[in-house]
Amino acid sequence: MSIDGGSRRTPATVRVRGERLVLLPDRALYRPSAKMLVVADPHFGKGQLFRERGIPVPKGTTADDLHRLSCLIDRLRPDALLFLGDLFHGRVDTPGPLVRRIDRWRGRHAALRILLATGNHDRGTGGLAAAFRLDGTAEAHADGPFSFTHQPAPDPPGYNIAGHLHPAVVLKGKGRLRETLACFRIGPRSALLPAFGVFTGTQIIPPRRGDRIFVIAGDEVLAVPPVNK
Amino acid sequence: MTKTMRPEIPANDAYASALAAVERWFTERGWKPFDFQQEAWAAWRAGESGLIHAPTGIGKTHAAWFGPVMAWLAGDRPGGAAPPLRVLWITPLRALAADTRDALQTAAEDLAVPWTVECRTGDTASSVRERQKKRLPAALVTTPESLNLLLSYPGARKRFAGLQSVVVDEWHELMGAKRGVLAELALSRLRRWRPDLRIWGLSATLGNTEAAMAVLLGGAAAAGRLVRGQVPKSLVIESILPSETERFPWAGHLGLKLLPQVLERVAAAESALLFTNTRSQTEIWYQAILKARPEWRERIALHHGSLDRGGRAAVEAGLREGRLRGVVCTASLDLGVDFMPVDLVVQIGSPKGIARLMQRAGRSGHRPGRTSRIFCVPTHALELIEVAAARRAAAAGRVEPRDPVVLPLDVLAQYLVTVALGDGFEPEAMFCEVRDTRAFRELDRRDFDWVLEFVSTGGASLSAYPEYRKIARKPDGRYGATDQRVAARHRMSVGTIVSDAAIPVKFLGGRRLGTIEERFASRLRPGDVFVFAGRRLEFIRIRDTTLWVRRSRSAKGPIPQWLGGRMPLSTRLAAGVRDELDRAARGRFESPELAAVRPILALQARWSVIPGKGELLIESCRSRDGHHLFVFPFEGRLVNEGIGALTAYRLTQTAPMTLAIAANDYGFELLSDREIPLSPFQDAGIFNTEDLLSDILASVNTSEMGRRQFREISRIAGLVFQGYPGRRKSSRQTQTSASLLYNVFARYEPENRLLKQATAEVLSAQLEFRRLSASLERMAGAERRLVDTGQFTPLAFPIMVNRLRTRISSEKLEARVRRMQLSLERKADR
Repeated sequence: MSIDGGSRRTPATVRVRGERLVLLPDRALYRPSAKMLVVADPHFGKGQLFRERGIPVPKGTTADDLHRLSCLIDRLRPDALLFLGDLFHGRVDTPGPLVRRIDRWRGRHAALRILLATGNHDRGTGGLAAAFRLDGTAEAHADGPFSFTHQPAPDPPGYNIAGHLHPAVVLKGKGRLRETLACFRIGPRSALLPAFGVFTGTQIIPPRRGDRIFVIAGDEVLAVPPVNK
Repeated sequence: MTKTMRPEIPANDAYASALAAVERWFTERGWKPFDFQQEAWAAWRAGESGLIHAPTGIGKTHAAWFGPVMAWLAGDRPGGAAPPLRVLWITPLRALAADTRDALQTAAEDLAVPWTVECRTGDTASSVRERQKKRLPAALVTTPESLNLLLSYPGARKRFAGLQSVVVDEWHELMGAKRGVLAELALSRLRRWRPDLRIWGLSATLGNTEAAMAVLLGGAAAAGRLVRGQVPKSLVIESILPSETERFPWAGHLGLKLLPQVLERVAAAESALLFTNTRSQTEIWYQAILKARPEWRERIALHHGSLDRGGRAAVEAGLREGRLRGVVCTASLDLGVDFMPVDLVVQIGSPKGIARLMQRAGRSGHRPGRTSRIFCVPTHALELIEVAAARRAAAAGRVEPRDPVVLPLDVLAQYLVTVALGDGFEPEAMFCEVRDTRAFRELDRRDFDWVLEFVSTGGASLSAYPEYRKIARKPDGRYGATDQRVAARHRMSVGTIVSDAAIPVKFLGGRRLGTIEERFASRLRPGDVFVFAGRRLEFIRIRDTTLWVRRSRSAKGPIPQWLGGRMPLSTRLAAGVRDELDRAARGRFESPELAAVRPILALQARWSVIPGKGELLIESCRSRDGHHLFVFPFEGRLVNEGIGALTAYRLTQTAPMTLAIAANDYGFELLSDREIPLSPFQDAGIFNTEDLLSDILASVNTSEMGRRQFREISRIAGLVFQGYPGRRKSSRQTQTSASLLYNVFARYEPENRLLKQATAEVLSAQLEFRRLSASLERMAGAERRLVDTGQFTPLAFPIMVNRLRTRISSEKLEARVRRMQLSLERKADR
C-alpha cells in the first residue's frame, strides 16, 4: 500500500536505528512499524487566544489543523497518535466551543490511542488537554529505539525525537534564489520535527555536520544536500 | 470655519498696545518683524486659520506664537491669570519639544504673559502626566501620538474646552506620512469641539504648499490663508572633489577618500554639521574623524536615532552652547533649526531630494538674508551627477511636493479605538467627523463600517468572532472601552512609527547606550567586537532582552546595519539626473561635478552607452551569479523596483523561471540562473500599459512587496504588539510575526481589507501607480538601446552589489528547491 494513500503529496522516508520513518508534507511523522503518527507543536486554540486578547486574527486555523489531522488518520490508519507537546497555545477564557469541537473530533477517532509528551505551553492550559481523552501523558515516551520529548533532551536514553523549536532552514541558489522553509532535522542521535499548526511561526536553526535536512516544499518533502563544512 | 463665530475682539487700542509691546520685543533684540509675521498675527486676530511657509529659520515660530500671546495682552483673558489650555503646539519630534517649550516660555515671560508652557511627550514624567490629566497648562507642546493619547482618556472634551489655537510645527515632515493622518484625525475632533478653533501650520516651502494647507485644515480648508515668508535666503551648493590627479574609482564606494578635504573645512569652521544618509555611515565617519584628529575627541560627537536619548540631548546641548565643533548626524538633526545654527554644513552621500538638501543647507547662515551653504561629499562617483542636478533644480525652484496619505484604514482602526477609550463616540457623528479630514474625505460608509466591525466584533461580518472584544457598543448606542487590559495595551501601541525589532545595548555597569536591531545582535557571539555610539564594544551576552557589552581595546569591528530609512531619490531629482546625463551624452560637461565624473562616463560610453533624452538603456551580461539584465528608467528606487517587479512578472508569464529583482535610484536588475529572453524588450511590449493594474497587482502579490507592507499595517492596526517596555514576558503568548499573520490572513480571510490595504499601499506609496504608468509610457515610447556589455558597467555595478532583493517566480517551489543549497545563517522568525 502506498504510504500516502495515492494522494499527490509526496513524503520522504529515512531509516533511523533500523526503523523506517516517513516524513509527511503535512508536517508530521509516521512510524509504520509501530503504526504511530507523531505530531509536534499543533498549538490548538491559538487563534482564539489572540482574539480574546483583542487581536482579530481569522477563524479557522484550529478547525483546519484538526481536519488535516483527520485526513492523515483516515489515510494512514495509525493505532496511536503521539503529540510532542504544545498541544494548546494557552488558557482561553471561553473554552466551551473549543472543548466541544475536540470532543466531536475525538468521537470520530474513538479507537485511536492518543499520547502526549508535555511541553512548555501545556502547563496552565486549564485542563484543555482532557478533551482529547488522552491515553497517556508524560514528559518523555520511550518506544522502541526512540525517546520522544517536547524539548530536545540533552542526554536521552535512546534516539531522541522532539519538537519545540519549530525548525526551518534557509536555502540559497544561483541567481540569488532564496527560501526559508520549515524542515525535519534528522541527526545521528536526535531528530527535530516541524511545528504542525498552521498558525505557528518558524525559527531558523543552524544545520550541523552529519544532519540530514528535509524541507517541506509545497506538497513535497525534499532532502537538501548536506552542509560541507 | 465662519469668521463671524470667532470670539469678539477687544477694543482696538488694547490690541495696538499689545502689538507695540511685541514690536518693542523685536527691537530690543535688534530685529524687526517681517511682513509675513505681521500678516500672520493679523490673520490670527481675524480668527483665521492657515499655513505659514518659509525657509528654515526665519521666524515662523514667532509668527505663530505671538497671535495668541497678543490676544491675551489685549485683554482676551477668560480663566484669569492662569488660564486652562489655550494653545496646543504639535511638533513631529519629541526631541524638539523641550527646546520649543523653552522658546515659547521665554517669549511669553519677556512680554509678562503669565502662562505656563509644558511638554507632553513620551518622555514626560508620569507625575507630570498625572497632573496634566487634572489640568492642562496654558500652552502644551506635544506630538501627534501624545495628542492621540490625550484623546484616549475620558474627560478629553472638557480638558480642551478653552482651546483657542493649534499650531502644527514642521507640518511638511508630518504630511505625507501616517503620523500626519494621526494629527489630521485629532484636529477633526478638536474642530468639532471648538468650531472657532484657529489652526496654523508651519512648513518649509514645498512644491505643493496649497495642498499642504488643505490637508492640515481638512473641512475648514476653504477659508484658509497661505502666509508666505518672503525672505529668500541665497543658497550655495558645492561639491568637495578629489584633487585633479586623483581619479574616482569607477565602481564601488569612495569611502573616506575625501576625509582630508572635509577635515580641512571642519577645522576652519566654528561649528559644523556633517549629515549622512544612514546611521552606519554616521558611525563610520565619526570613527574616521577621531582617528585622524584624536585631539578633537572632546569636541566632536555623533547623533543618530538609535542612540540613547540622554546621549542625544547632551550632543544637542553641546552644539547649542558651542562646546562642540562638529557633529556627525543623520536626519535626526534635520529639524530644530531654530535652536542650533552652525557655520558649516556638509552632506555626505547622495542628497536624495532637493527640499531635503535645502533644509539641511538652511542650518548654516541661519539668519534672515544670509547665505546658506552646503558642501556635498560624494560617496560614489555617480552621486556627483545628483549634486549637479540638485543645484540646477534648486536654482529653478523645483522643490518636491509631498503627497498626502489617503484612506489609511489601519490608522482609522487605531483612532476609533483611541476615541472609544476616551469619551466614546456615536457612529453616525464619527463618520462625519473623520470625513472632515482630507485623508478620509472620500471614505466609503461601507469601509467605515467594516473598520468599526473590525475593532468591535473583529471584522469578517459573516463569521464574527464571539470571543473577540476590543471596544463595544454600549446600551446608549455609543462605542466605548470594554476591557482595561485591552485599553492599557492600546495606549502602549498608539502611533504609526514601525521600527525593526531592536534591543537595548547596555554597559555591564548599567549605562544605556542605545538600541541595535535584533538581526544584527543575533549574529554576535560572546567576545565579538562591534562599533556603536562611537565606541568599540565587546559583546558579553544577551540577557533580559538586553545586549550587555563592555569597552574593547580591539582596533576593528563591524558596524551595525540598520534597515529602513533608505530614502529613494525624489522624482524631481531623478528627472534632473536624466537631464544631466543627456547633456553629458551630447558632450556637455558644464559643472565641476560633471567634469569630475567625466572619465567614468567615458568608460560607460565605451562599454555601453550614456542614455540621452528619449533613450532607454538596457544592458545584459553574464557572471558566476547567473544572467543579468539591467534596465535604467531613472525614476527613483521605489518606481524602479515597481517596474522591475512588473517586468519580471510579465517575463515569468512567458516561460517558467525565477527572477531576483534589485533596484536603485537609476535602474533595476533582473537576475536568473537561466537565460533571460531579450525579445520582449526589443519591441517594448513588456512595457505596455495594457492590463497594467492587474499585472501590477499580480506582481505585488507574487513578490514579497505586499508582505513587506503588511508589516507596518499589522502593527498600526494593533495586530502585532511590540510589547510593554520591560514587561515583554507577560505578553509573549500573543507575540507573533507579521509575516505569519500575513499567511494566516491570506489563507483564511483573503477578503480582509487590511490585506487589500497592503496591496493598495504598495500601489500608491511604494509603486506610485500614476507615476509608474507615466514612466512605462515614456519607456515604451523611448528608443531602446540594448547592449550586451560582457561586464558590469559603471551604471550597472551599484545595482548588482545591492543585496536586498525581491523575487518573482512562475516555477513550482519544489522545482526551485531542487536547485538550492542550505545556507548557514541563523535568524529568529517566530
